[in-house]
Amino acid sequence: MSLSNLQPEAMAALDAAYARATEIVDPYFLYLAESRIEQMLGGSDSPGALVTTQDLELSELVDQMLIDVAGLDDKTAKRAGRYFEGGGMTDFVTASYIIEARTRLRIMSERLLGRDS
Amino acid sequence: MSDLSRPNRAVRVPLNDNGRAIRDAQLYALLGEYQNTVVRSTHLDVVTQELIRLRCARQHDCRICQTLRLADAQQSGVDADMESKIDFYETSDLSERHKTALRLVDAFIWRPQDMSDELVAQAHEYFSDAELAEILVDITKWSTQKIHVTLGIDGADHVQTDDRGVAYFVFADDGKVASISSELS
Repeated sequence: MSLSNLQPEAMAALDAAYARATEIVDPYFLYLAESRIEQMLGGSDSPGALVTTQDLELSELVDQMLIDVAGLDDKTAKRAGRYFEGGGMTDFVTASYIIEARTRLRIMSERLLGRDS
Repeated sequence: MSDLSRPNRAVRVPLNDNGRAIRDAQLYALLGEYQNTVVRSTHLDVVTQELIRLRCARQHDCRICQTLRLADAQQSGVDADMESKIDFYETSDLSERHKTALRLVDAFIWRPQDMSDELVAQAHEYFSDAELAEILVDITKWSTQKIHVTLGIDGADHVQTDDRGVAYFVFADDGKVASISSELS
């Protein structure tokens, strides 16, 4: 049985959180986060070109969250924070975590439990 | 446990008058409902669950999570001696079942794409599919703290602790935290 079969309520709840994230986070920022996460964890071949300083600084935050969140320093967070107002950075970080969780769950569960049919 | 933690991090986002991060209330509520749903799942024993939670707390260096202890787990046998073995579990005398659970945590947190066939086999030797599914969602629940660590809002200064420096928490039936106390009741 797949993870969705074994934990249907949890997976539906995580999907609902992801759907909300897509409504409130800047679509380009979300695309950037999804591309980085998929590239780093999923082995995607998508180029994920980082064109601007903004791309680089937001990706640096996402990368550090993925690789070793404890090692994230104040400067990296501050650089990324320049692109948000109010609760924007909190929502972006929350959305990035939700994407990361979905990706890690997919990779691990496919190996341990099998894919959704 | 050994002290592997990093220096204190600053709060990195604006806070509201209640000292909480400004954020989208609906997104926060939906992610909270995910966590509550995971907590309500009952396939996995509470001792294994607590070892997983503490491993996540240590790997992510979440200050509040490292301060807390699940009261039910303490009452089921988790103690300071057992907790001290989590950092270096491979060379400890923890059971193979618990070591396998901790290996799954590490694979999940670090490089899930590189999980070995050997670990997959061990996972099926010691856990049912229902338990494995719960382990996976448990890890994501206990890694939600990455959000707080990233934002620098994982501080534990407001939590009253005992002489060991820990506080005990209990879940209600709906999966929400019912209480946090410096005393294990």
